[in-house]
Amino acid sequence: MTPSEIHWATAAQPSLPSLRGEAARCSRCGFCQPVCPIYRETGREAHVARGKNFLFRKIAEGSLPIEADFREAFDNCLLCRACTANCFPAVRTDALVLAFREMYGERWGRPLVQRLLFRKLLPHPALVRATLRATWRSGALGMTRAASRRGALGMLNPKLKMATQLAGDSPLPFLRERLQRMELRPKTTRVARVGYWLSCGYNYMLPEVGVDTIRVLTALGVEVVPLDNHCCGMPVLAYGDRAAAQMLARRNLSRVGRVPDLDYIVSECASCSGHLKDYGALLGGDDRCATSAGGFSERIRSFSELVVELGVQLPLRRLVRRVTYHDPCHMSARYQGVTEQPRNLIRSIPGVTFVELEESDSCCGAAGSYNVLHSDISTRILKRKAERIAQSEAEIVVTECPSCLMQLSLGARDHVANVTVIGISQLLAAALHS
Amino acid sequence: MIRPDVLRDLKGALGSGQLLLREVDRRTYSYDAYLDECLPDAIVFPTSSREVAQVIKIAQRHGLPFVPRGRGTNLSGGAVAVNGGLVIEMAHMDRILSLDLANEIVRVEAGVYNSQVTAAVDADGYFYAPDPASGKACSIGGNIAEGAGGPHCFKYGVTANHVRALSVVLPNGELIEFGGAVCDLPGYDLVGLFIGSEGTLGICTEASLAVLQKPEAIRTLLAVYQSIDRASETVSAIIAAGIIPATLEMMDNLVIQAVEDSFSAGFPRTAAAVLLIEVDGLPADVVQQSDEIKALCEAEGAAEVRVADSESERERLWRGRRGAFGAVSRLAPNYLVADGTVPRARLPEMLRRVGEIADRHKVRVGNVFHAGDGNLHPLILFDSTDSEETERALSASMDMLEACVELGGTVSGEHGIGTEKLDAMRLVFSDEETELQWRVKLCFDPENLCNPGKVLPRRTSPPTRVAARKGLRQRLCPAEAQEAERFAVPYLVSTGLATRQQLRPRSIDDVSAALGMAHDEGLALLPVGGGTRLGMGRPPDRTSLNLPLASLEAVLECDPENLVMHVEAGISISRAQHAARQAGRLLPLDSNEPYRATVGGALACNQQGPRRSRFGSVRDVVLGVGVVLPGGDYVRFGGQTMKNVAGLSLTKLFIGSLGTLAVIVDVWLRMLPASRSEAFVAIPVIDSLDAERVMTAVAARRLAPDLAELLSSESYEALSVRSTPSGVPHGAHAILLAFAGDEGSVSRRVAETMQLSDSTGRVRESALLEPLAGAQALVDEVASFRRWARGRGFGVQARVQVPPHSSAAYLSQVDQAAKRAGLELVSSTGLTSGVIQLALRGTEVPVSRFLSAARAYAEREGGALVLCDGWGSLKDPVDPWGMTGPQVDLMHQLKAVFDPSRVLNPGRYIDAI
Repeated sequence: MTPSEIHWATAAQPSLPSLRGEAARCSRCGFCQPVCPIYRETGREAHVARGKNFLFRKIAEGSLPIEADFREAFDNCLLCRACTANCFPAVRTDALVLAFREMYGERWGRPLVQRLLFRKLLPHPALVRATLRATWRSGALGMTRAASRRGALGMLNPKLKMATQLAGDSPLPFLRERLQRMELRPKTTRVARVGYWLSCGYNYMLPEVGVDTIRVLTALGVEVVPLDNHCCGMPVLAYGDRAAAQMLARRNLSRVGRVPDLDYIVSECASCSGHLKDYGALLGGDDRCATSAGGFSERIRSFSELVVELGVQLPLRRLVRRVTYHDPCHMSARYQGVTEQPRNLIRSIPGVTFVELEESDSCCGAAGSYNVLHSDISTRILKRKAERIAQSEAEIVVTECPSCLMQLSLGARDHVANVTVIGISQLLAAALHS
Repeated sequence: MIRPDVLRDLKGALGSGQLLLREVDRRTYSYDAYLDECLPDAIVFPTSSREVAQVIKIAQRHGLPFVPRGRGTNLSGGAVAVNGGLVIEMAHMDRILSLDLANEIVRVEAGVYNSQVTAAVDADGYFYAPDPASGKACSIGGNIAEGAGGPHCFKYGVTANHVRALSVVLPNGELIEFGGAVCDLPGYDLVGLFIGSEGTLGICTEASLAVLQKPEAIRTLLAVYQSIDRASETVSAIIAAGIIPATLEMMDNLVIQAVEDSFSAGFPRTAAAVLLIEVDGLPADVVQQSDEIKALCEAEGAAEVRVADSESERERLWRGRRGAFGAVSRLAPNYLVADGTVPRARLPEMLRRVGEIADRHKVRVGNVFHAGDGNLHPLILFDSTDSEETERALSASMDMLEACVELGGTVSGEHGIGTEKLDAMRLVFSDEETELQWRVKLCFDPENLCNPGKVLPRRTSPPTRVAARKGLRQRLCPAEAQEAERFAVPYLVSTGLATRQQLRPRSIDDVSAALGMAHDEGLALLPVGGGTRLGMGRPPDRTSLNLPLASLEAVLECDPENLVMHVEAGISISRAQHAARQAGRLLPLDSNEPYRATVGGALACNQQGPRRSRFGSVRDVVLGVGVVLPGGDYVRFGGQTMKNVAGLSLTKLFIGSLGTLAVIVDVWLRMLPASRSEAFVAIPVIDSLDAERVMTAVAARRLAPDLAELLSSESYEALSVRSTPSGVPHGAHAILLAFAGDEGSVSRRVAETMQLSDSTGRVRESALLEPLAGAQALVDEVASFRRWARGRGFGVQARVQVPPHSSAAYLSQVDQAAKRAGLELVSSTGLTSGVIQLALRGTEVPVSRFLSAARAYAEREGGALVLCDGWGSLKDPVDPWGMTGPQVDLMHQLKAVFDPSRVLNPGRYIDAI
């Protein structure tokens, strides 16, 4: 057997024998146990990579059927890859989880909600925008928040309660509208022309972060070109709907491909930047798109990666704060491997004391919608993260992912006194000479 | 599927989320790291000992089997529910409960990861020595169940050598504490028996673990070979040269390649084999030893010897070693590990056989193993979907275990028998031995519900005993009169219970015959070694014949290359020590009156001398015993290999059992390389609390004395030594310190000791001692405190065990108590072991009162007091053992297993067992 060729962002589902081979590389040594954020909280074998590898192998060998009971194992995965990083044969359990989700969808059909969301709503940004705006305006979330304050919501549905807590204050107007009123040309000599990828998280939930991203970029001498993109498709792929993810990728390529002369495309969402870098692989088999996808992926940068790469010294004032950094999974060595750049940026601010966070690259438990669908376990994972944050005695926690930002803010609010969670561009913007 | 009534009870006892019943869970708890798969009915997650007990009681009520599971890393199938039932998952009991670093003890729950223990004490400069390669992923409870080892066990010993106490839920649901805060408590060694019992005797819920001070210096070497033979010859050469590195690990090319494919650990891909050797200790010793090892490796044909200079390089090499099993699973979907051991000198031969067996069965094999311990781990690669290949792998594995046994080894060094090696048990145990283990198992678990189907092969019909007794009386009786006199304890004779008659066996067969006869004729026997401990316990409760074993005094084998000695039990400790010395080795066993005291007696009385903090307890020195059971069967447990977890650890049970279970007739003992240099220093102290201050300074400087005995000035002055400077001012006590090791480190430690200042900053006056009759003779004198005291009329003698850190304070307490009572007390105190010998003059009632008070002080510290001599002379006798509690019931049951008709030492032992 050769080292793994299994990767999750591939044009077609890997063959069953190759997936079986991947699962069979698991020696059941159990080294995944102490590093799996979910298993650490539940101690339950179905939640750790070894259990998933075992079940998948049995399913692939035909001795177990694909059935609903086993979803417990494959739904409970953050896709954080901590298991693989600590696995000597480096079993790609994340790819097996994805394959199970995909196979399960094929076998039993996808839930109506997923079908509507992934295939009907997400490909139409205008519709997404309208729906979400209507939701916010109607006060639906506001109402549920009021209910949650009375404690009624938790009794009704803990998932809804979690969702409203995460949502926070109204983001209206959305980032896209705010950008229309912003200066997007560089403040100094132009150093690059950069496409700005509007991540759903920042656009619809945390527009203030995006505003700061633009401020920092223009201060660096970047001409910012907001892109008219759809959802990148990462959540869709994570739910095992490869076809829908590929459709979104193709649409994005054709939209973005029309924008001329972009030196880079940047996103401050770790999941977006990570996934966009995988477009080439995801569409690998598609002749028409493969070339453009490859060229596209090469120009993708995460925010801190780009800022460091441009090498321009920001005009920063003194900011006396104790700051720590949480590595989003998709930024960590297990995905993009952008770990030094954000730390260097933080350290570059005069007056800042940077402290390392223990288990800084361990998943915070957000993982897209995991924190909503499995709020109980996610909250326990978050509590551990919050304890580490408290131990660091930092005043500010910085990260580079909207999902992590919302999750960590909630954790800080509930478990740590006097700590603020912000995006890295927010930190830099705060230190900018205005 | 689980029955509704069982379910109802379980739901009543446990909270939601503590009980799993779904198929996804039953499937994922159907395996461990071995091949077997069996579905449990349910999985429970207790969070406390009490809940474990409740669950077990429910299981018992419904006749449901239950299996303890730690982190499922077992390599022999031990955590698989072969008969269905409950899996009791300990993952939720994962707290570090307390640290007591003054006494070097950590208390943990069973589900704690092995590596968490070291992590908890690392910052304070301590570590937990047993380090299985799976340490990050395996639980302490699992380590205890399996008797886990690891690379550093070569120098530091295995799990059994590092566990002080256990909380165990017995198969009847009773929660019980085995062991205590100190070593060597009186009673059968239930801690020793439990360790390695693979969860078949109960479920360990908490453990007190001994941690050690981290070595000052570590150096890691990687020796690279172009031939496996050369590498394994080097292993034998290093041990033969009398060097004990901290680790001595070997990996062959297949494993090296697999590891390097995983990440760059720094092993050369083209090497046929590498040795990963680590030395640790004092900086000077480390440099000297690593230089010697390097030279040896080169002389044995190493192509290259690299020294890891940085901590990161060292960690990289070790990460490669620890990940070897995982890395090999890149190469094939499954692997088997044949966990056999051989005497170390046979390693080269065994490795050749492994290669031949692999060729014969056409399987691929990688080797990565604890070479220093002679513990092999051939990894046999296969694909379990290919049934023919699986069959070949299984046969190859069995052939390898058989080869190990042929070469004098055993079938499991550290992974356990589980279900994997049930068939291999027949290779090492006779039907009688298996039956005895079955009876011990059933004594704990009469319904066979606690992890059934593991360790012990299917029970055969009990064997019938046929012993030739012809001419027995003529051979055994009568003994010469004066010899009988020697063993006649006056007070025993005066009670009329012990006769001056004796059976004197001249061979192991004679012992068999004598026990058979005693059994048949309803006689009681009093096994006697050198007769130095006949004062222990109460007199027998019926007339007993002496069974002196001093004629069994042969050295059966002294194997300096393997560092093992096999002797008959009646050999005197001095003679055994002498035999070791002749072979250039050291027998790590000291004793009171070593010229008379026998090895068997030292075992039966659990009697270690003053160097215990270096040598360990008796059980740490004993590798195996042969005993004759009442009824006459000879059985043997353990043997000449360093590591042995095959079957239940009955070896441990005989140590400290005062000959109440069986008669020890031959013993395998571990030897150490002889010390190259030894030196003795004395420091006078005013009182015992003063001694504590000195020892704190000694510990802070990591002077690691072999012996640190606090002596009353009288007994100190009786030692045959010349001291420089002479005429050291007298204190009321003196601390005698002994240092052994390489010359450089000994002289450095002596120099530091001579300059030792206490917390007040005052340099201590001290004297260098020159033993007039040699180092061993001086140690013997110290060890023979009791004889010295008896000679001066201190006829009431007791041995106290307290935590070492409390020993000085304890002594100060009893000194005052003795003064108040107007008694004369002399003492000898092991300051690093916590063993205190007390000797009193007088037989009045205050003596008994004093002893009761002294016992109460000791028990308050978690220790114990055992009366060793003079019980019969006390006007108002105290209980010589002072042990009560639920353990005693278990001891009675064990006694009934071994000696149902109470042939051996009836009534002498704890609770008149």
